Amino acid sequence: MSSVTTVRGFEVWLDLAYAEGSHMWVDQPTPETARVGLDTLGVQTSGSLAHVDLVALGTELRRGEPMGTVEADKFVGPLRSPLSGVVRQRNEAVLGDPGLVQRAPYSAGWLLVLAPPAGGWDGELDRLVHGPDAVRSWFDEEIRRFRREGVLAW
Amino acid sequence: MVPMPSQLRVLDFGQVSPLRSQTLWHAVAYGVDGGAPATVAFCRPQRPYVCVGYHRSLAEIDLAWCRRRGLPVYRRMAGGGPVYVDQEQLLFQLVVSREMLPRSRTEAVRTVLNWVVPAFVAAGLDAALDEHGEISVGVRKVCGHGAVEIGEAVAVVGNLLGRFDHHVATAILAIPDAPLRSEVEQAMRRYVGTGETTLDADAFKEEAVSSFAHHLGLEPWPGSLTCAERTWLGQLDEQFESDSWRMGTDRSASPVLDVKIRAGVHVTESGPRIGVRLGSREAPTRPCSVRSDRQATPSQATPSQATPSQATPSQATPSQATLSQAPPSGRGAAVLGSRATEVPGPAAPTPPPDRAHASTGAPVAPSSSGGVPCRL
Repeated sequence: MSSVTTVRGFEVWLDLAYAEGSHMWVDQPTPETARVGLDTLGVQTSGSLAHVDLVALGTELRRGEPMGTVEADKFVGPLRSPLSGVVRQRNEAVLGDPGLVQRAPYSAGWLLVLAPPAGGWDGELDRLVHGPDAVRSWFDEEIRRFRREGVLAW
Repeated sequence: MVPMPSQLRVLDFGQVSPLRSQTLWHAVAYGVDGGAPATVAFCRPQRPYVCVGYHRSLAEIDLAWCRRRGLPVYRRMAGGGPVYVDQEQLLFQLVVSREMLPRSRTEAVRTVLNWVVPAFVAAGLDAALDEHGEISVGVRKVCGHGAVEIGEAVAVVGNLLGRFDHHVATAILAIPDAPLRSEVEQAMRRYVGTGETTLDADAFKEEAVSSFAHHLGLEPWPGSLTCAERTWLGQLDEQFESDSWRMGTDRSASPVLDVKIRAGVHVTESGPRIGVRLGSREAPTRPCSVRSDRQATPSQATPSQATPSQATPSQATPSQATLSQAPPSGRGAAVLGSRATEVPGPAAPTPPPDRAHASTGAPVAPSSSGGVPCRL
């Protein structure tokens, strides 16, 4: 089964984990690394991105804290970190080309790579939506909720 | 009296310093994040200044020209580009918890602008929210706007543009040469402001309060800053005056060759050609002039020498406030009668912890406990 699917018109990568409130995705290629980015619903509700800023390398983040900002339609809003950790890499490409986040949110439009905090990620990873069935189901419900609330067009 | 959650706090600060015309509403946003009630605020700057959006570079502003003219430059946390603000403009802000607005940021801004359109009509403008998301009279934008999410609060800010100083609004921009600057000023004259001199500011405020209260299901209530907000205000005064905040994040200082006049209208330079582009970035550009010399000389780049204004002197000269000061009446008037008190100095009893983000300067949620009016 491919890890890439489409739910009600929105691309979802089923092998990633997701933060429910912020719609940030988390990829953990190694136990000591987590790459994070914005999912397609997060992109959609942010609007047409004009600017992206990311915190500096070495910044210590707590889960839910701003890890940067985005601006779309003159609205500046925070990007909330899905995990605690220390910033090890920033995607410099998206700073110069914010549209990359919209064109390739799960790949070239990634945002940060984090190293785990002193206590590790175990508790925080458990709070993310993960596993193909859970991700598909959650994404489907989120889209339906967004449409009920008028956030997304039917 | 402590406001109930069903109330919309109304703060009318009157005329304030350029600095306070920005820091006051930011302090309110931190207050709402900390539990203060939904708030609509109004103010008017006592003097002209320049204000740049959170992500934008100071390199877009002709700082030397601003310095010569005595125009201070401040950076706001809301988005958008560098703008000229003066006492002709009535500034308004709606600050609410983010769950009170649509989750989509674009839709949140559009919703608030829709709510405030009747206020522009009440002020005397035949205004509507256009297809580009601007409040306009015909093709003319009559409201600059921006928004920011600070913690759990969202602030949508805007202004009532009547008579507008297009010449100075162009001169503050670091446009590299005279022909482009001239075209920018002409486009501003065509697309920004109405030239109206008889706008009814009190009717605007009254209708804005009434409309926001109606759509939010809240009762307007004349309020004042909370203790926490006064503390934030002191800290924000210092922060906004600091060079590090004013500088913002590192941005490349490339020449300004594409000037957004309003949503859907850009003046752009490509090689020797200058044109006006209507619509998206992909839309065709209509040529309007050709530069005779590709290399601008320093004298050409001096704004004061650059623009042979086509306007009448009265249009091109900063002037005194001309908005009507008729006494308020009606539902909104009841809460607008009492003016909110501006804190006179930048004193902060207990400086809150530094909120500025380590590298971006991005505001992070304060741990203030708002919601209780301050006793003086």
